[in-house]
Amino acid sequence: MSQAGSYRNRTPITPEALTNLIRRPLRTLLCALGTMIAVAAFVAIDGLTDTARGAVSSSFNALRATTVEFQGGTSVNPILTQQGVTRLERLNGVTSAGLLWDIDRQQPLAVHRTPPTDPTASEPTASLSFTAASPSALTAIGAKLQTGRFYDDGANTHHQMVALLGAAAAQQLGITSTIGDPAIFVGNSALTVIGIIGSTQQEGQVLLGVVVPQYVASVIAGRSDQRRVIARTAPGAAQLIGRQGPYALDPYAPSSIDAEVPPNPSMLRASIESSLSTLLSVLALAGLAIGLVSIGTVTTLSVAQRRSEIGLRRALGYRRLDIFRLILAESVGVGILGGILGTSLGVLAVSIVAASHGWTPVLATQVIALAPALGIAVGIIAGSYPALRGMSVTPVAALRSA
Amino acid sequence: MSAEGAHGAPVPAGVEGVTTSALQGELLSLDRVARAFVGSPPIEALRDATFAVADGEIVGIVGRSGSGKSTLMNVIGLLDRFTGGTYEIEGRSAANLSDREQTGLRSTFFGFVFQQPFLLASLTVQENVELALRPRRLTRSDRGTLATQALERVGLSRRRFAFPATLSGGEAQRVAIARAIAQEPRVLLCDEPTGNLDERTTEEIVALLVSAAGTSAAVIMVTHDLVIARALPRVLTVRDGIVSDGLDEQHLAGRAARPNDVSSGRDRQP
Repeated sequence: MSQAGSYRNRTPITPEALTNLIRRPLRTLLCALGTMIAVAAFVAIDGLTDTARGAVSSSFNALRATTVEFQGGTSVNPILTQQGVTRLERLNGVTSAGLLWDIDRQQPLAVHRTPPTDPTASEPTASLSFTAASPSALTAIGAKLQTGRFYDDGANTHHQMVALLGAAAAQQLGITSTIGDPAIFVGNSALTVIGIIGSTQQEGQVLLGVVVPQYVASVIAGRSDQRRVIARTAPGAAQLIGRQGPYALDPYAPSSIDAEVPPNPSMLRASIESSLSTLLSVLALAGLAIGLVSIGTVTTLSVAQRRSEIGLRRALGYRRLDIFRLILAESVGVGILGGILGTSLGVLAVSIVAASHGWTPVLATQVIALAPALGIAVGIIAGSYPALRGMSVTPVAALRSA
Repeated sequence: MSAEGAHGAPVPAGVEGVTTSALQGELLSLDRVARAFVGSPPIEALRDATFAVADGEIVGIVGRSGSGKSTLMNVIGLLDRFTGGTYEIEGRSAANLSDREQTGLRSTFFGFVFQQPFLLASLTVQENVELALRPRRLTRSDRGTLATQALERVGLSRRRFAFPATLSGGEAQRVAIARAIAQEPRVLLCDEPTGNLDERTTEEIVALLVSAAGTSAAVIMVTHDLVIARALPRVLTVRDGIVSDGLDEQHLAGRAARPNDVSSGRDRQP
């Protein structure tokens, strides 16, 4: 027999498969496209699920999760009263609570810097909405002063005609300081501006208008308005306060009070996770199906096109198993490439989406490790049939068909 | 074309001096070998093929199109199975060979040169030649050395990094020959290796194949070309699947179609 080496038990296939893939880059890339999309979808959706989960957690911050709002009755027929608020504040878990309502349903009222009766007036005039708030309500909504001071219970008791201006309203009226007790005129009432609210955590509309005590509201309001109570609770107590609050506010008719509690974060998170998980499953499965079909089709076509090559290899001493291994190795190579490219694309997609929303990208390391393995699995599954077909090609038939 | 072959015809360069006296031992032995294809009616592509090929022998196989030449070649090279008779390779019955043993023999005992070179477009010339050595237990450098030597023998070592698309038809066929002789086969099987080539390139290729007999033990060449056939020391004629010793020019001259073609029966003018 020949001097040029004896026959191997197994022809080394990997270098050949690698050469075939590298030398036909376009075919390899096109073949890997399906798997790449599938793996990218898998990584991206999983990453986005985790990222969104993190975002949900951060969105449900202490403020939103610890605020309960009660509604009921009107300013003319009040169910929600200061006494009720005082009882509410005594409940375990309530950190602050206050009564407030929109005056004339936030319809803007004409506000002057000078008495409307003054014919020589040239001071700025503005149309501003009015909100009535108890002193404790200012704490509950997290109002912060830019200048001046808040009013207290005494303002109501002593019928003081005072007002707080929102920062935007103050700018409109040209009031920058409370020094010198600036006054504003609403209808026939003169109100002393004692403070300017610079910011609030809730009820942001107050920055655009005027906040007045309960007594002043009764003087300037032309109609009845629905009252609300804002209660801030300790973390985790909102659901409980939402149930107990109506009894504290009006023990005789708790059912006439509606409580608006924040959604249970854990339930909401579960809901979001559930929908995202469904999306993940559907898209990932669809993507994997695309990947399988893509590699399977291209590899099958490739086997058909390479019949003469297969025949030649068989004639040169490649065994059936060598042909099977070669085709499968190429398919797995395509799967690995698709897996790596898909993982990179998925990570990039998660990073971009997270960055555009200001979220922190969260990616499970096991998913990143699993993704290329998924590509390999796709390659093996998709390449098996064409590889079986390839190994069944007889050399004489393959060479004859060339 | 300086010498005359066994049939008194001019001999292509390289053929002269090769005679059956160089034979050493029997390599292949066929006794009433048949190949039938299933069909209605069954097709008997090969019937009662009986002949032997000895070490160092150069044998031409001629016959008209469809006569069974290629079937005979495929059966000899274990590319196809036979359905009757006895075929022995170095005294061992081919009928008893497992698929693995047959594949092993294709890698180490037989070398093939087909009408088409069958070069893989994505591989360089050198890699195409090395392809035949991959099933062997060889180191990478040994494989490279053998391939380079084979390319040197066919005069293409300077083009070993070229891709097949850049080769002429003759060059591509020389690479195919290099791929076959790199295996250092005992039997070089050539199935119309000059079928697609012009006259001058044909002469070069034949000379190469015949010179390969110096290292390979035997050359069996299917050809349509009567000039080549006449120049070979031994020729078998296949007629309707039946193999007879000698060049039956009378049979081959039966119908004319192409000059110098066995199918036509007309000679190429030397």
